[in-house]
Amino acid sequence: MAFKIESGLLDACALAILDKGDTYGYEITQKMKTAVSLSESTLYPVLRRLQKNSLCRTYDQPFQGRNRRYYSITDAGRAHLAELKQQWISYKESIDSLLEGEQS
Amino acid sequence: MTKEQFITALRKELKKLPPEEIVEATNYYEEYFAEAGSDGSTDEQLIEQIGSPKSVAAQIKSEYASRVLTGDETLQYKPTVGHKISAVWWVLLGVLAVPVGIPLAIVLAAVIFAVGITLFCVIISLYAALVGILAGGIAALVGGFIAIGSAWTTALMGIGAGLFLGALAVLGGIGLTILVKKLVLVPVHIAQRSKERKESAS
Repeated sequence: MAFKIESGLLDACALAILDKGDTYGYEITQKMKTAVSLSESTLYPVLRRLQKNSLCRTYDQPFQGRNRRYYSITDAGRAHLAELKQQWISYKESIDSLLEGEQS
Repeated sequence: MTKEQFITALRKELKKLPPEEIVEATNYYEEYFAEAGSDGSTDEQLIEQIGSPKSVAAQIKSEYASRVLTGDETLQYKPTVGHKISAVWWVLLGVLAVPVGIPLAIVLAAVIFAVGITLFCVIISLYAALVGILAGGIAALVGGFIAIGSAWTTALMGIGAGLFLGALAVLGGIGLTILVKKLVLVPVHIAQRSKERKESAS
């Protein structure tokens, strides 16, 4: 693919997945991979950044005798997601209009 | 490479980060291996997907660095006693590294030796003084008892002085012994602490 996904978009995708419900690292990676080509090691720094900015929080749940860390979106995270969505729509529209040659 | 080797290598690559960051990251990848391995993939296959510990660590480090640079994370460097001692060692090694440093090192060793000997002598002389006081006390006590028949005032003074000096010697001895123990323990504590530091670092 010619286009690289960068950190703002990664934040938006991860927050959008968390907005649909709490889940854990491996599953978030798998869900992201259905939409964008993503290395398995890309997500951890994204989750860590979201967590450090209080956009998501974590809790641990035992699963098959080990630990599974769940990520959960916060109110600040939802607000940030709404903001990112807005920005993405206007960005997408401006790129679309450029690529399609000012049809509107 | 097994997943254990991967985690160990990752931890090593991250060792300059705060302990919390290292624990979080290694926990995440341990969990990731457990989740991803449940479909029967081998460690080798999983590591091929994830990438080398070096490249994984590079991503984690750059995320941490950007947090520090944006000021979200304050670098908290609190020098501990161990750090200070290792700084002293570096200075000593630096001194030894230059030719002129060798005579200086000999001087330093001689000074440390002289201080040690002096302390030892002071302690010995203090003990000797206490033994002297005790001996004087015993002598006064004995003299006092002998004088009971002939001169009772002399006897009272002798016995009183003897008891007083004896008590002084015993108390002084106890105090001095506690002090000496503490003095001896200081270098032992320093050695233990640097040993613990080395163990926790490895």
